[in-house]
Amino acid sequence: MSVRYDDSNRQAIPRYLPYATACSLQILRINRRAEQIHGILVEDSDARREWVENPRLTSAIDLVAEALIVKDFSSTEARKAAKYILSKGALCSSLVRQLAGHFLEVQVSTWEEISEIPDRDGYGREIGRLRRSVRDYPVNPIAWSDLSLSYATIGEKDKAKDAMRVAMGLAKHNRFILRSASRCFMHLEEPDKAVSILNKSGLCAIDPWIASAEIAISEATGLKSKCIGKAKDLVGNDSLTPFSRSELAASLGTVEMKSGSIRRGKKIMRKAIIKPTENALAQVGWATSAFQIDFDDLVKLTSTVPASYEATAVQRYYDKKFKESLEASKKWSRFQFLSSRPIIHATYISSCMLNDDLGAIDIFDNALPAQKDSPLAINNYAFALARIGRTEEAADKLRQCLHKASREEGLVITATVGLICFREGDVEGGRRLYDNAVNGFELLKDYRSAAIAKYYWAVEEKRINPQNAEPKIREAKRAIEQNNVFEFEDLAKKL
Amino acid sequence: MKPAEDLTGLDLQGGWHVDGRVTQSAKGTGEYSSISYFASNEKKEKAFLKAIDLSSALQDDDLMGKLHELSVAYEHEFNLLHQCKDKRLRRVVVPIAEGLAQVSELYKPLDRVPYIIFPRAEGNIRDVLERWREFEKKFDLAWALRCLHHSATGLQELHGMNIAHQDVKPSNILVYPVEGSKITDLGSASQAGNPSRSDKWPVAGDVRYATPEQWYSWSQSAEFENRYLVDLYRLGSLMFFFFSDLSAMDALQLKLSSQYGKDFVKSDFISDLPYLKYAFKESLDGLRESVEKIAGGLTDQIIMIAGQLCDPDPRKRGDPRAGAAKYREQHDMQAYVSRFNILARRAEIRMI
Repeated sequence: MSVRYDDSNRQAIPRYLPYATACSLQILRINRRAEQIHGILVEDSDARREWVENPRLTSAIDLVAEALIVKDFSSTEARKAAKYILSKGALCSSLVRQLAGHFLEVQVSTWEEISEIPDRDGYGREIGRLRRSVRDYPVNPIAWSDLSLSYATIGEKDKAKDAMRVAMGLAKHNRFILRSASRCFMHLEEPDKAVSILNKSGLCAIDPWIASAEIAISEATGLKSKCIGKAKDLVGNDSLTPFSRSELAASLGTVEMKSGSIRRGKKIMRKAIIKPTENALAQVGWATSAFQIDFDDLVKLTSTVPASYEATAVQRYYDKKFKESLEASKKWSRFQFLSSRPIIHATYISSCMLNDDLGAIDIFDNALPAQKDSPLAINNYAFALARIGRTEEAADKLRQCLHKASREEGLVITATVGLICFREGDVEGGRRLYDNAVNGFELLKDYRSAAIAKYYWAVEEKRINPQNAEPKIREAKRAIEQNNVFEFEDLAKKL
Repeated sequence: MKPAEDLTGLDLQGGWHVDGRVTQSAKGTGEYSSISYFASNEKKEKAFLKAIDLSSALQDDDLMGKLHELSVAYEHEFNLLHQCKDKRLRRVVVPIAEGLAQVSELYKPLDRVPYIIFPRAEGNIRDVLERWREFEKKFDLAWALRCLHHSATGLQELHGMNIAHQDVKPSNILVYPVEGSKITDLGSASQAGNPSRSDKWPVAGDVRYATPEQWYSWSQSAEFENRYLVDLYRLGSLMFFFFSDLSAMDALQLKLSSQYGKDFVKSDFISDLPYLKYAFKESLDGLRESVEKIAGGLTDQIIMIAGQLCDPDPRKRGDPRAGAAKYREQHDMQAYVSRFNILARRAEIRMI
């Protein structure tokens, strides 16, 4: 059977992003409203006077550089000067041409649609570039952090850890580095260290981005957060921008709701969607389904918040718009290099809802090594392989991941092995394994998964003998209906 | 008209004659502004005269207080210049004469204008670069590296006298036909143990050539040595100017602005330092692109020096080996004097 990931405990854990992506998403932007300054004009400056009196390359460069520093991008003379620089072509250095080009660029939303996911060679080249960069200028913590992310992406965990340690050594009080490092240590299965570096930074009480990371990671890993009290103050601090408080409000709201204070949690979460990050939006979206609450404008926000692929994928899934959900989850996988969740989600939808096993295989094959390193992702891949007849490959894949699987994941794999048995003609073996899986799920009170297992068992029974499959089909239909497995309702009717 | 603007045609002490004004607007040198003139003497020596404009005090509510301030600032620069002259510094422009010019009595009580006469230069390195670009269509690498060698020597000489220049920029490096390049304008300079008003300014000298820590008004300590690190940064900024026509700060701002979609807003220096370092590395890559076309095999050395001199973190700025050696200071200029000298030699040999 193919499944979705377990999202019973989603937290707004900081994303592990390359610096360029974090910049364009403005995750590093200032906290306080008062710190947002407005541009000074260059109209009365000496540089402008000199350019007007003596329009030469030197005076043009001086004016454009000064206008850039004071952010007076609308100055007519400075724009003329920038055009003049560009007209001189190769007579200017590349930095000067970049200056003029950048000055004339239209300021649009800084988020650009993510490009195609690089292949392994592409990551090799990126790692090579970053290694050269840190060799030339070894005190650049951001380059070390990006290098760590690239190593983690291709599954080189030790190298990723070493690179992140260097980044931390160089800038242990920087928001970007701290968030990246904590996410990196989460990925490396060292949650204690992830929380400890955040607490030791001393920024939890003053920086909502850091407080949010501390709460989310602590909650996700069963540790006790040390900054809930300070976080409440920060969420209520209106001098901070709503954007900078959004993830903290989402994290804190989740804590409240989980402790049973749904109303209080909802009140806090409302602050998260004033101007949310994509992560905060995904967290609020998760809360709406987990706690059966409603927020206005969530649908609208998914189309306006940059990079809100996860929120879109999940929302479209609950709306039964599976094709849209699949498209969003493909983008989500390109945005989150280390997360296997988008791969699990996409392969599940592709195989189960859209009956496109080849599509699911393609998604997994194109995923990055770090994203494939999950028993559920491998299981979904094996499920798709088995359904198109590549049962040996499927069995091989499952053998590789069995030792890493949790108890629940083990049951999912058992059901998939049952499918393989059916497809290889071992009907009794298949029935036994499906039966084991269903009983196991029911013992764990995971009736939803049991219903899905029953559905796929019924499919196999119908495939080999439609007449004898009737009891299993009825049982599966009943289980799907009783457990509100909404995504299988239409499929069950067609059984 | 101000008294300092009315010196043309005057005969001064020592046989100097004021030939005419230099066609540029009044130039601020530290706290006061000055008017520039061409001057010459009977031996046909050509010179450059700087007339001090004290008239701005008249617009101030506290006339006497302002006059005092201006005269103290002038005295400070004058004193530094004379120390440099007495020590016979070779790479710092020192006065050849000074005095008070008597202008029309109509300007009373400011009818005596202080002036300083300097040897006349061919121009500054901005002028030279512009000439190369506009007319000669060439870049003389050997000359540029020799100029950087001379500038580093000038700073080393000043630092040896406990003076931090703090306003090194292309227009303050004058070019002489025989002697080469020299540093001028001590209007923003500070001397250890000799307090001046500029010591209290967040940025002494031209703001466009300020260091990143000055941009954030951050200082690691109150030590005077930090001012030498500003000189190091500005020397590195000259390298950026030679090879890319931008100051190091302009290049840094360009990269920050590009990364943040024209919306970079600073917070505090230590928090932002990683972003500054990242932007600096990118600007260094941009510089490398320009240097490679001109310097070929010398590129790595040039980029290494620019990287050390313009490091956004003042605690890391300068020769790393100097920081490690007990007998050398972090701001030690000797390494750069030697390196620029070797690079200039190698470029000169390549030309033969």
